[in-house]
Amino acid sequence: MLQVSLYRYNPESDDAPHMEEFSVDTGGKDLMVLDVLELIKADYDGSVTYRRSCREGVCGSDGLNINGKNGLACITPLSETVKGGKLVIRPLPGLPVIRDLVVDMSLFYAQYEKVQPYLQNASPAPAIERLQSPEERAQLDGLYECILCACCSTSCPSFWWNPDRFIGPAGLLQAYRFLADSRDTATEGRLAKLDDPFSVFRCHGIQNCVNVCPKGLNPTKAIGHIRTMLLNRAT
Amino acid sequence: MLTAGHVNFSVLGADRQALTNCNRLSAQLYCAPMRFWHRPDLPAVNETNLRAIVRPTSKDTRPVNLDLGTIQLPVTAYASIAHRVTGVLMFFASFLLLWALDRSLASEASFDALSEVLSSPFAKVVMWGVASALTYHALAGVKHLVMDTGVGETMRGGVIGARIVFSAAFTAAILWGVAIW
Amino acid sequence: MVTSVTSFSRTGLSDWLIQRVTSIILLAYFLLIAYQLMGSVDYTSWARLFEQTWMKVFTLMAALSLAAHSWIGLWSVFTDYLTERMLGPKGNVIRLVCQLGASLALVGYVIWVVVIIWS
Repeated sequence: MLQVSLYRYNPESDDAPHMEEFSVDTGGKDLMVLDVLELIKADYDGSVTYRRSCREGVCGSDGLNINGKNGLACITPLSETVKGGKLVIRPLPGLPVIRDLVVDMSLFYAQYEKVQPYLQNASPAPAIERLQSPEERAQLDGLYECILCACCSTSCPSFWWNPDRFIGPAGLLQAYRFLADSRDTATEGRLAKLDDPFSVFRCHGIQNCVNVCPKGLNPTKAIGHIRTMLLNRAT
Repeated sequence: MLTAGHVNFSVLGADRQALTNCNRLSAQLYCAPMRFWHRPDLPAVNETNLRAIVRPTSKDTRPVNLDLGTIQLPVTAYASIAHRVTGVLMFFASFLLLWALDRSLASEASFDALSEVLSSPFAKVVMWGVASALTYHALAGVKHLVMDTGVGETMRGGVIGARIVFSAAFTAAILWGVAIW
Repeated sequence: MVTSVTSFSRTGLSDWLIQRVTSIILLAYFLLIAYQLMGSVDYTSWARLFEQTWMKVFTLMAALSLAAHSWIGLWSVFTDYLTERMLGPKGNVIRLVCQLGASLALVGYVIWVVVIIWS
């Protein structure tokens, strides 16, 4: 039997969140954490609330704090996270809880929107497409794969303390994704918006983001590249 | 305007109509302010209107999961926390260092008086603490400078760097102890 | 509301760069002091070291670096924890009081060093 401890909060009846314990029979199988949540919802308590969609680590809906570490429930096997037969599931840290494991991601999305995550090119669009060499395209590897699950930003203390001012690892990874794109011509404007003491420079290289990213991406490295670009721009 | 992945607000409902209403409600509540592609007709998010988009925190009474005891941190995070703690300590310790500099240079008599004060067991503990904190802060600072050059930015690199800093600072603390006593 | 007005140079890049440059000056200074303290120190040699012009200049540079480095560091600590978000409406007042106290202390440190080495 797996001891599961769930963060519960119902805004209509609870003043404060509490932890609820479940004993789940996993049938000795190495399930994914999401499977355990589905079992609880089906067999124990139908009111348990969480986000999920594709169940294969692509949609980025089920980012949760699993045994203290942010990750996607659908691709985190019990064997990887459970120590001593105990599974503790809490919502992503730092964002307001709407209900149970569902957090309000507005701040996260607002920071994402701030970096203008779309291609900007001042020259007229060619008849077919803007061409890129394989080398230029390779610059985007490790950046474009982000699924915006918010595991990184909600593991970052700088984002916990200043989620309205610090863009956070996810937003900064996307900021660099467009700074590094050979087809984007708005580099100067993008950099000018990042040169304040909060947006980029709240990153102190603590690497919690790299530690949790379910896609194995490295926001710390991208932030280092942004700093180098800011430095080159100033000198 | 809708973001398929994040809208799926898992709701148990036997009643199909209730489920539809609920999904519509959640879409309105949680997706309305979000725009995922360039919309020139809408104002861009900036510092001023960001606060209008998200709820002001002082009026937001919803709980936040930030129980630090439940959150697992990598060794790199502990290295960073210790860097911050020793930094704040050094701000206060600077007063003691300046006082010692002042006394040591004022006159030969005050130099001797300082040596006398610093030989007491309590002063030795303080000296050891300040020296160890300063050494840690300096070593972690060097790690920052190294990482600024792009070295050790991977998780593996960061973990190795943090372990080197912790063990070097630990060794230095022992050496300071030997030197002081 | 947390703003950049009280930051050292008001841009992230300069703050970041100043933090690095001052750290190297401080590191060099403390290594020199540690080297001096390795052997047995007596008043005559210690006082003679601080009588030399280069050492006076170096000490003053270290003091200015200490002030800038500490301010940038403490400013990020204050704007992380002593905020409305963390402490409620009184957060801004507490932060401003702490910033005032810290800046006075740092100015005091620099003046103290000037007095020590030029008197």
